[in-house]
Amino acid sequence: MNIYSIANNQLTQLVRDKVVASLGLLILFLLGVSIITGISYYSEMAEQHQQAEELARIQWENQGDKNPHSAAHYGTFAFKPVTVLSVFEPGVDRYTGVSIFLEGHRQNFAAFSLAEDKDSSRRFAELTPAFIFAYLFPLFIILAGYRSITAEKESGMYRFLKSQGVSSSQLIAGKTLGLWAVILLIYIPFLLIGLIFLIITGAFGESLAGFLLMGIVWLLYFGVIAHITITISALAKSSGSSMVVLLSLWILSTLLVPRLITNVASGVHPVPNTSEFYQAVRTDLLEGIDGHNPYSEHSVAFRDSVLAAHGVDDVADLPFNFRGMMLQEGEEFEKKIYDHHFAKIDEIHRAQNRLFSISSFLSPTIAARMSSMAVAGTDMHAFNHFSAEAEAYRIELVRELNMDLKINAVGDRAAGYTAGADFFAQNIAFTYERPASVFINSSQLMPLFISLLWFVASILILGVAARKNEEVQ
Amino acid sequence: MIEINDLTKSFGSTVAVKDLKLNVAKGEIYCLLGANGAGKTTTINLLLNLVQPENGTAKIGGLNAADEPLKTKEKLTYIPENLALYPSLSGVENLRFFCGLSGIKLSDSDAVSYLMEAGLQEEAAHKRVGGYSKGMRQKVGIALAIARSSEVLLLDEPTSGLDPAASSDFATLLTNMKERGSAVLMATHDLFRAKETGTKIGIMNKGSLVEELDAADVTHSDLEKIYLNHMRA
Repeated sequence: MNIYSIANNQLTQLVRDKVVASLGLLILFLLGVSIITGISYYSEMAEQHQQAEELARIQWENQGDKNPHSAAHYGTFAFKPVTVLSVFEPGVDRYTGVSIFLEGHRQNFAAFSLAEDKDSSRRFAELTPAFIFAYLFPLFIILAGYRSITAEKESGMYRFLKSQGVSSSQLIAGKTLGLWAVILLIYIPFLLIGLIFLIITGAFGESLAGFLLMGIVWLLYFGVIAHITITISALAKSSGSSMVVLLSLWILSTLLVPRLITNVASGVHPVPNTSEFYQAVRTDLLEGIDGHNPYSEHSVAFRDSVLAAHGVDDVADLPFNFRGMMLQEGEEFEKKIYDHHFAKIDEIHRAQNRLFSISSFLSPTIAARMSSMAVAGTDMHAFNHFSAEAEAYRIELVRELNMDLKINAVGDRAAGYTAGADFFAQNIAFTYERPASVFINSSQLMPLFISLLWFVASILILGVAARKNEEVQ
Repeated sequence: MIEINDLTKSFGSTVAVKDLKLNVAKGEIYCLLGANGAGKTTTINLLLNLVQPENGTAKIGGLNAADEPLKTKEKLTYIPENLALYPSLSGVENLRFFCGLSGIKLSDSDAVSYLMEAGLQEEAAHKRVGGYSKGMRQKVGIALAIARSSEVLLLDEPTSGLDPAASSDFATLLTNMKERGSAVLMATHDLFRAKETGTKIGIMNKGSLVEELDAADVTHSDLEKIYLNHMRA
């Protein structure tokens, strides 16, 4: 009864507090603006994605009669669809790019250089719901709650409440619930708008689990901030010192630690720039077959082994087109080289991500942001999944082209062989689909787990603050 | 109703209350006089169980405050010098909140009735207490005591800073509470109010009760002399 009365009282006071009410309305306004701009961005990107995907396919199918290997060089694009949840949490999508040019012999980075733009330092910016939740909403919670207990002590209310039989635990629990109620007053409308948006876009079924999880992630984060705010207010000697401590913690969690970890991650696990990357690839490629150079040492050795295996002296006597075979052989060798180098880049990013995950222990903001990006399908894991799918498609498409050359460009058709529109129309098309499960791999669970730990720990410190306050008069 | 026996409390090397013996019966207003630091507020804090005694007992309605703090607090209302109220709530809302803490659900009209009984105008009862004078705030405290049917009132310098009219109004309210059967313990510096309102007067000095008088037996000037003699001793 006491806890409910105190919570209700706290809610009434906060709603009537002009500063808190104004800030709450400002947050709601900013959320509204961010959702509108997010929906606009999503709609534009979804439309562009569809148009670009259709155009790329039309161009592929209508490239005219062409040698299949020339078509491999002509290339096509793979486009990563924007997820509905990117409206709320765009994550790294805007920095990693959403399209990859697919061509023979070469695995490309996404538009906006992967090696440079995947730098984790750019993960924290822009007016989006996620940005507001991660950075501005905690400020609102702090401003709404920093005086919760100190003001009671400063006004003498604390003694008066104790004289009424209210314990410290009841006071702290009531104040915490009151602060929660204010948070929910702002957060619930956001959740409802989000659900309506999912229904309108027809993504309710596929995105509901992710959206709800995202909702829980942010709620855990707000809980952590609210609990820490009440704890500091309970332990501080004055409202002023409570505010100073809380703002310092906010700066640490949202600005300093992420910046510091970004610098450490870049320093400990540096990502090579694009030119260094391709130089290393080029060096390794010289060690194998070049499908376009039949006179290289490796190509000659391969040709001799094929001729020997078929018991002929000339490639013209082979029952298939040797060039098609050699191009495919070169492609497979190049794939190994690219896989090797991309795996290195991938390992660097994994190491950076691990560092970020671990740093979540220092900053609940990092934990919440990483969890939010994971469930929205806009983190690096999601991007890497798309890249891997695009690369698998590229390999298969080039194999189809080389096989056509190998099988059909024989005998008197070998010279000037071309494939027509019918052939290109039947080539496999790329359509990316995210995995059905919210999480792509288990490492994405780590920040979520740490968010939960933060939440539990914040409740525990509330308990400690309550016990300490029992001794305060 | 209030029984204090051999109560002792020290803070470090400072003895705040020493072997205090004091009783306040139903329908009695006991005024505790003393200089700053005499031990008046500590005595009230011990009754409220805000501090723990080293020795002795402080009982309310037969219950030891240290052993059964919640039960004893149910029986009393405490009004400090500056009654803390929530400024953004009205008098009615404050009263409903504080009664709610005791499990008493008041309707708005009930709350208005209690506030008016304590001397507040109906219009003022609906206004936010941020604009209340000190006297009006103290009246909310009295309304709380009435609403809770408190058997005991603990008052710590309640008339300090009140203008004479407000102080007189407050004294009238205390007399009403006495007539309802409440036991009132009031710590005060105000000799005049103690003599006018109290039924019994105790003088504390350096933590000890050095004199106990029936208010009816002394004149204002005698009380002043006795008080000053103890303070200068």
